[in-house]
Amino acid sequence: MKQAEYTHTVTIAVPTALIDDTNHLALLLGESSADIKTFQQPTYTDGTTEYAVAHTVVKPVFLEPTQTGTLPETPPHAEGLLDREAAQRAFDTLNTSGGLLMATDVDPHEQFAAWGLEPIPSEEPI
Amino acid sequence: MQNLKTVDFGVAFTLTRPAPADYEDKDGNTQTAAANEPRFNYSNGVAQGLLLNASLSETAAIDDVPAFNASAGHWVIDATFDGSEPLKGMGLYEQFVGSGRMVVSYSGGTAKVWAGGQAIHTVGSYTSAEPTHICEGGMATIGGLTYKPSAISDADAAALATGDFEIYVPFSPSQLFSEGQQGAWYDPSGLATLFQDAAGTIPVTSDGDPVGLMLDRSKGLELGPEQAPDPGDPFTDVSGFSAPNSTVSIVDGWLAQENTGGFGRVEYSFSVTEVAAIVCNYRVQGGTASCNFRVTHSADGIIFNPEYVAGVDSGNVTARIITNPGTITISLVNRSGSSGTTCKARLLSAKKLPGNHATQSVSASRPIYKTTGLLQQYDSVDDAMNVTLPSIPAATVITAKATGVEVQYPVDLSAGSYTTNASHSGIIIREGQLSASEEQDAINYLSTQQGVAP
Repeated sequence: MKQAEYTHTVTIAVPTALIDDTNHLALLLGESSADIKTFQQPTYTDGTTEYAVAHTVVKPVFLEPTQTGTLPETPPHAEGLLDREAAQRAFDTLNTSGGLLMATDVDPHEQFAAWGLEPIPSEEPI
Repeated sequence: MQNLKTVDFGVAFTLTRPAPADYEDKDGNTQTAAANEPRFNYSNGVAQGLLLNASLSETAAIDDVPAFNASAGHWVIDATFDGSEPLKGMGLYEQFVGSGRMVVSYSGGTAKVWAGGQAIHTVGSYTSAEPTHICEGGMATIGGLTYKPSAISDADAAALATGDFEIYVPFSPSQLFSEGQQGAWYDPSGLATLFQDAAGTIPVTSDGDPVGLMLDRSKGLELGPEQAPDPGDPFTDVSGFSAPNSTVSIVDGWLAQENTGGFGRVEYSFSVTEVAAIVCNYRVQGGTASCNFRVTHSADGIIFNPEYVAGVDSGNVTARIITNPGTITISLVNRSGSSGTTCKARLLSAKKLPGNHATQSVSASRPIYKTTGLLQQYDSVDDAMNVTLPSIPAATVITAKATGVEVQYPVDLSAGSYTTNASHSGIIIREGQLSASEEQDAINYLSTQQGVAP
């Protein structure tokens, strides 16, 4: 069996207001044109702000922008779809107050709790 | 019987057992016989020469079965087989179940297995087996075993073969779909059915790889016929292709396209009548224009549009594109709109792969393949696999979970879709309710999958 390429995990929480921008960041850093739909409905809240969340395995290259501060070139799958300015806006808020939250190699549910996030109760059918 | 020559047991062959093994003596006590020491087992109340019996902790099969004459010879076996391994020492690679007297005859390179007065199995091109174990394990009790190095007529073999045996076919979930029933069988233990991307171009090979496509095994994973008028590799005839804004020729086995202005391409179309995967094998090379291999659906538009190549060879690529019913068009696309620009293809193949295959196209929402615990693990955050199914108002869904095998019926799948977002080691979805025996077989099968509580 080959050595695993996906050697890290990331846990991400995106405030509702940043969902559109962050989807462009996901498209830029992801592997599929469908990544423009990574974040959709918010499912967590800190009591005042609602968040859409994701957790996934990633290759080390995914984390390079967090180390270099520079976003990568536009990959072929993102051509024609990507708004680089939107992606940059989202990236600039990373782990800032009110910005998108990301943690590496953690249990997602423990991390959501550490961020003070709780699941938004789903509506029960009447 | 003619042509039979009676010889002493030891003349015909020598049986040995390289390790001690247990047997039950006449008082009902378990004894251990030394290596090569014969045993007589009394578990059935009478002395029975015990050559193989896994139920009594047999650890070593009989060794050193001699090479025998495949042109003219036969075995006579008094035995009980219940889940035994194939009788490889006799050159038989099927499992048998049953009891009584079986005859195996060899004549002119053909082997026949006789039971109940008739031939129940024929090996048409029998190859003499290497001296080896007769049977490598399982529940087999052989009460008597005789080999005679002489031919036996079919009539004599039939008369001798009074036992009741049949070939044992282990249960496979595919049997639940043998009459065309709708549904799906996902088997994450089979890496050949798992791909990292939804387009099925990157196979899952390592622990921790994400899963973007999981093929449905319920239809047997049998590829349909070639859809291309000429798949290529090499091309010999391009007359069946349409070539909008292009001229087409064959150069050294390559299909060479030259733009005549506008959206130049070379393509062919075919219809798909039910949800399926289209397995595409292609190799394209940009010339003076960049080009790519493209799949378009009559209603959904472009459904596969990989990276353009300019001046380089894509190499052979295999993709598995999930499509709805409709008309599929396979194209070699010249990206340049300029007259005189060129690109070429070596391979433009497409075949249908029937089945309700499950996908996840969003990278972050893919589950992962694991070699410990359950085989397909979901993060309980956003992971999910989705499949489009025919409408099934009442389906049976059987899932191999860490807590055991869960059976759900009826499950309303009339909406024509199913999403799974919980870790598992196998899922069977089938229209209607299973019979009691089908359900038990499916439970038994899935309960043996990795990480599933018995």
